[in-house]
Amino acid sequence: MIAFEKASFGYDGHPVLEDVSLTLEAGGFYFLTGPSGSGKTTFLKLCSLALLPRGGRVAFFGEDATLLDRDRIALMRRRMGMVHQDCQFIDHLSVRRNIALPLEIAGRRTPAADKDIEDLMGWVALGHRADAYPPELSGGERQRAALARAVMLSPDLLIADEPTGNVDREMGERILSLLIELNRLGRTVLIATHDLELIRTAKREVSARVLRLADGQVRLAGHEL
Amino acid sequence: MLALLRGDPSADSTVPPSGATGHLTTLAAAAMALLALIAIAAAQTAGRVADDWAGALDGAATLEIAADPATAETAAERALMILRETPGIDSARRIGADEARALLAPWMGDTSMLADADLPLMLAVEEAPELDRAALELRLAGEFDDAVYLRHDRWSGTVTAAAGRLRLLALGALALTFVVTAAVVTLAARAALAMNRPVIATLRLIGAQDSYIARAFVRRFTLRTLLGAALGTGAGTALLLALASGGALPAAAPTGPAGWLALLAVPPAFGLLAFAATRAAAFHELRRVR
Repeated sequence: MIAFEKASFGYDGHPVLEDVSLTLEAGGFYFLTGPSGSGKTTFLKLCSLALLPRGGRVAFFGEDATLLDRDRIALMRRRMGMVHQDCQFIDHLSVRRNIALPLEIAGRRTPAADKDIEDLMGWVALGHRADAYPPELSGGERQRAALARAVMLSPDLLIADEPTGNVDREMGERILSLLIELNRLGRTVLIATHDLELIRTAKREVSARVLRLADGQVRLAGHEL
Repeated sequence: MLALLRGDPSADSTVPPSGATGHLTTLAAAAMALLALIAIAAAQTAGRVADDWAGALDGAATLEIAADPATAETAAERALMILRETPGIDSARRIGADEARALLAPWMGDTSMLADADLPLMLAVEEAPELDRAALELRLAGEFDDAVYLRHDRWSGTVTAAAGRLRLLALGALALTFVVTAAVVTLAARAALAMNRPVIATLRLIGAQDSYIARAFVRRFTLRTLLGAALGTGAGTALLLALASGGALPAAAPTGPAGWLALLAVPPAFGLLAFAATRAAAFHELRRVR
């Protein structure tokens, strides 16, 4: 699904990732861990086409990232759902519109799809907040709304940066169960997190792999955590 | 363009209202359209006046002969005969003393003091294009000691050239209104795009193509410019008609279908300009957001 081949990236000559080679397989469940500043966000940005490698190659669904034009990048992103830490929303649109926006952009909003939107908001327990505006939501609600929006187009790959960072344990487990459910539907899931308990909980349910980032390298930690 | 006017409610609503920036665009477009109309009217008026003057003076000439009263009649007969014999002269007639005084009146005011003065013998001549003027002037010089053959187009040439320059100035001013409008719309669109960069980043994140994002901005600024240009054109037309009907500037009113068409073309021309300017600005700014 995403293949890194000796991919490197750095800021102002300071290397963050060096010669990273790994493949995120379709249907896999991955956790990305590592100390602060180790390059997790950079790795996720490379995975979401927000950055391009300075060296080596990153391929998405078989296509070299550096060869994608802006329109192809946009189309590629419709195959990925992304949940950022800061949960970017359009503040003057209701939560319902924000969640439905990927469908509108893809030209797939139909009356039948409206039912899916309502179901999805129920799935993330936001049915009662559908007409609220993003600035009115709590941190946890924003995380769940971002997750709902990310899965709106049934993406092949879901990327989440600390998706349980702003929620209590119970809501964290609920979000995790949603991600596991998606994975069981055949979606690839990549989660960046510091929460080891979250990883342990997930590993009881799915065959999750852990990618450890340190010293500019990403290593597959396997099942030993 | 039709799709632009029809709009895309989804794309349109993703961008928050542009507020003061949008209103300023409308105001600037209205002012520029008004100035454009004045420039068009000036160009049309200059052209029309030059054409009128040139048409009136073209092919006209005056033959002046300083003859004493005793021989004036004979000289007049002789001159008329020469002129009528000359190929390329459409008509020739003697200008009587009263008519000559009337011609001098605009420059001299009261001409009663000229009642007893000896005015030169004057003949009004209408030339045809095939006239060999040099040959005629030679013959006249041979026949009369003090014959002066004055072609009126020597003044019309100056007047036409001045009108042509005035027309160029007016067209330059018109072009300037387009340049300023494009600059204002581009600046306003860029400001709106920069202000909405977080919205653009979010839309890109969830798979929006540049054309989807640009559509909302392009439509908004094109329609605002169209509205402003329509208001400016309305006000400008009213102003020109008022100037014409009030007698202050009779030539200011557009004449004929072409004249009206030039005025009515201002709003769509401004709309197209805004469309192109905003589209270029939008795609330029969007490249800053991956």
